[in-house]
Amino acid sequence: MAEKKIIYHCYGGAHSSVTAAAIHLGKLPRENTPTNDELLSLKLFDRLTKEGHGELHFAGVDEWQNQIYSVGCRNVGKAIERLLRGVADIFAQKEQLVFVDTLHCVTMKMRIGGYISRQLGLVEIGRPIVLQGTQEAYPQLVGLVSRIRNEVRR
Amino acid sequence: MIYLYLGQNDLCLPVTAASLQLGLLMSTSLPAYEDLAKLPHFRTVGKEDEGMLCFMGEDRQGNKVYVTSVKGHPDVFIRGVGSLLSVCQIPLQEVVVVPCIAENPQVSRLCRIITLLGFKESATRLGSRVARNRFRELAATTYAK
Repeated sequence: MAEKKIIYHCYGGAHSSVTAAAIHLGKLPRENTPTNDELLSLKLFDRLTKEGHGELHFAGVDEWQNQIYSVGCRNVGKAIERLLRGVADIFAQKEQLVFVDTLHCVTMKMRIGGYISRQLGLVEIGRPIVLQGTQEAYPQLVGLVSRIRNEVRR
Repeated sequence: MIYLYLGQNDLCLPVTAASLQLGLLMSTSLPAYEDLAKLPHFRTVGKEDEGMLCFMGEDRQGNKVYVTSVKGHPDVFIRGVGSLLSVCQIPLQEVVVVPCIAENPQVSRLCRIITLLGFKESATRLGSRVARNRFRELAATTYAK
C-alpha cells in the first residue's frame, strides 16, 4: 500500500497542528503533558507567520513511512482540503492525502494567546498563554492523533 | 498542463477567463449578458462548493482548464497548491493558478447575498456586469498566459 501524506491543519499552523504532528512522530510524549521547553523545542511552535499560511510544512516520517505535514489554513480549512484533493485527484494522488483538522481541539487560551503572539506580534505576552492552552488541550490532541495513527497503520 | 482559474465568492470572472482560453468567448468583442449567462458554471458559489474544481474543458493545446472559487484568502490557496505539487513531486509548471479576483470583492459578496435571497437571475446579471467590466483585462491576462 502506498505511503500516505498526513496533513494536520489548523488556523495558523503554529500551535495545534504542529503539536499534533509532533505527537504523531513521537517527538512529544503521549503519556504525559509536555513542558514549555519541550513544546518550544519544536521548530515551528509559535513561530509561523501569516506569510507561511497554506504551505505544507514537512514534520517527518512515521514508522509506517507516512509523511507528516502541518499547515495553517486560516478559516478556510475545508475549502483548501477540497481544492488540494481536487488537484491531487487530477494527478491520481488523491488517495494518498489524509487531512486532519485539529481546530476542534483548540482551547480559548490557545486562541487568545495565539492571536496576541502571532497576529499582534506581542510574543512575550501571548506565548505563555498559548503554551498553557496547548498543555490544557494536550489530552484531546493525543486522542485525535491516536485515532489517526490507528487508521493509517491498517 | 493544468490551468486553474481562481475566483473569490463567485465563478463569474474565472469562468469568463477560462472561456476566453477555451475559445468559448472571443477577445475581440465584448460578450452580451446572454452569452455570459449561458457559460457553464457561470454563477455565484455556496459554502459547500468552495474550493471545488469545475472542469471547463481542454484548449487547443490539450491543456485542461478548471475553475474554482473561494470565500477569501486566495493567497493561502495559491501557496497550498504550489506546496502540494512540491510534496507530490509534480513539476510546478504543470499547474498554473490564475487569480481572477474582482477589484472590489464586496461586489462578489453582494452577488452571493442576492443569490441567497433567491434572486439568482439578478445575481447572474450583476456577475456578468463585473465580468464585462473586467473583460479586456481578463482577455489580456488569458492571452499572455
